[in-house]
Amino acid sequence: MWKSGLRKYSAAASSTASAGNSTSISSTLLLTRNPVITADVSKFEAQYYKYQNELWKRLMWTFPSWFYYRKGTISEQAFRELNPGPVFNNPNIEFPRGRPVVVHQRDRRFKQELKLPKTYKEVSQEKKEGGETAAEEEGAKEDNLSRQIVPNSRITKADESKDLASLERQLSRTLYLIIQENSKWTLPTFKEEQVAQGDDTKDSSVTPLHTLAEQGLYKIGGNSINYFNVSNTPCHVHKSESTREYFIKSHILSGRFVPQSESIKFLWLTKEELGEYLEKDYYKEIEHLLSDI
Amino acid sequence: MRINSVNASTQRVVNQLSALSASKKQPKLLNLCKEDLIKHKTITNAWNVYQRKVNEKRHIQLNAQYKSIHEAMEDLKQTSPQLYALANKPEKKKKFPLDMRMPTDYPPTKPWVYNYEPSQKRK
Amino acid sequence: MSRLSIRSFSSSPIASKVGYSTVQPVHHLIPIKKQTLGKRFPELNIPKDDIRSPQYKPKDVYQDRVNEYYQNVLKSDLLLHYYEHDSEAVTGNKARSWGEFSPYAVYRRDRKPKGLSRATRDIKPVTPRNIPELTGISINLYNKAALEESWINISARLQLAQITNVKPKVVYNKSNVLPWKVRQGKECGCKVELEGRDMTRFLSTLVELVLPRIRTFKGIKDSSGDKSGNITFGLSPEEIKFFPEIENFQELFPNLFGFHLTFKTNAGTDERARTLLTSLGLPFYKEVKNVQ
Repeated sequence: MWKSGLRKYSAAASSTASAGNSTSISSTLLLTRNPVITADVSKFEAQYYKYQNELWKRLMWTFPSWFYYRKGTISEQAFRELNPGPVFNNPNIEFPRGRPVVVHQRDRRFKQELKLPKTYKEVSQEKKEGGETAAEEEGAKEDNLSRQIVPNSRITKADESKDLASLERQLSRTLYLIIQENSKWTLPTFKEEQVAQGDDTKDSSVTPLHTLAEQGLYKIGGNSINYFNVSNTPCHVHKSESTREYFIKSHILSGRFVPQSESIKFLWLTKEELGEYLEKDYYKEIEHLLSDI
Repeated sequence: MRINSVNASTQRVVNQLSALSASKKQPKLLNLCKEDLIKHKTITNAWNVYQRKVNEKRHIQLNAQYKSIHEAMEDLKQTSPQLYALANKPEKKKKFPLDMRMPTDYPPTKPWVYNYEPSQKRK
Repeated sequence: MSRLSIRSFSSSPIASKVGYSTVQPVHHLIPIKKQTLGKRFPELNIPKDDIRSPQYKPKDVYQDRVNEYYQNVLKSDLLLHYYEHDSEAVTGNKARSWGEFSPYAVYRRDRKPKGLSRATRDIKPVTPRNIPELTGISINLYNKAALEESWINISARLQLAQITNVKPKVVYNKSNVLPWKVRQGKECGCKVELEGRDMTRFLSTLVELVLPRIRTFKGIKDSSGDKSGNITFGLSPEEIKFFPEIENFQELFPNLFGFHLTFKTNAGTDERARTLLTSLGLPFYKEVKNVQ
């Protein structure tokens, strides 16, 4: 369907392969950890969402409680106790802020605020009672379906201890892997010849850039990395006179980066932090590849 | 004449219909005073301007990324036609993995899965 | 345009033939809502996104995490994934003209495209301007039981409204098919078109809560699609009950109805649309043909 370059250049490949020998080709791995949690919203965004949400609630239809809580059931009684109806339009009372318009237990002028009967016990109350009950509860926590669900904190331990090598830091941001082999922090870069020499069988043919990056990653970071290579197409080239570094983009999905030699140090950094560790010109060149979030 | 009681299944359908329909459930229409209207318009305008800026920024970044892919491929074509052919191979059957999840509002209890073991396929 | 009414026996150009007008009719091309023309209902002229309109509905009511993920992570990935160097637009198979001198060409539709019954679109290379995107999800529920008892459709409509947070539209039969008891103008189900936050919320519920719990679910068939990037699959009544909105109120929904979901994308081809949907967490599987 697409006109692929593969056919066009396969014939030309063998004849011009020798031309590439003068420049050394290497592939640079842009290994990212995607955000695990949603981005932090700015104050303006949060306020706007709140404003719209309130308007939305104001314009909502009345909750059909007669449908969900059938008359005469215990749940209906519990619901009614939690939600006493609004003040009805009593002709004997003056309403300085306008007369209520009540239909189906809702004042049509305002948003409807509902409280639903809880299906769990409050954690905070239990803890107040004594240490023993709290300890018992801890054990029952995992498998108890009717426990209160408390969301985990968006700030993790790694954030608090400022562990830059942890994959659990800055969960709302994209992290990038950088390594240090000889006193200089760089993105992991692998030269074409190195790997080709190691593999005797593949001596004659070239290794595709993404395979080169993959092999290199396993070599320096161990085998227990589950990663996804976005494409075999490079997303950037860093040029100098005799070297070409092609950027290959990948995402780490699970597992960990375990340096295979002691000389290798590694960090997982956000875009802004990369600016501090990488060379300025280099960072400026690759800035557009890095995600702001 | 008004029918006071219907059988249970009919009542259920009546309830379903009443849950679905708008009758007697709609709130009063919004009737903003002039000041509120101006406030609302200001807020909406501010949001639109903000969104436009965000979108523009994204667009510029994507354009820059596209340009840099193009340049890289142009360069690769000159430097090594062999590698170029391999890099330009269309990957039609490639699918994104299910492990790549969309972010949630709060992190899972274990934010990251560390114990990954490579499968047999991959040496 | 005035028409010549003189008949000539020997030869008559098409333009002056009796009963023909070469001028295209212009009336009724633009639908006019007559209520909006007068002064009686001024609010009908207010656009829907204005707060003074009775149809106003606030849109950005919470942080949309699916869209955020698409914009921040997937878009740039998809751009790189679909990139093909030196690729050009592939022209689709288009309808052909009848030729310049054909006497039958007037008022006639263009000739069918070569070898196909339908024209196909051009396939353009992916650039930052046309990165494939999920534009909508449409849900169609065909309710056979409603053909006999039309009140059954009420439960179907409510079920769909419950799941999607959008009030469904009723669908009516278009034709008469006696053996199937299909009669024209009779209710036969309902449909919903999802967009924006309704769509993303439905998608995240489907991908994170419903599909993982269906044991027999292998994925969407790899062959599904309408050739222009819209992918369809169906859910059976047993699978519907995994929607949390239904699951917690099972006694309120004694009969459930299966439906078809169509993911509408602007990808252009099915192959691209499939990649896009996998990136949003929908699995696909390759059908193995039964070989004996």
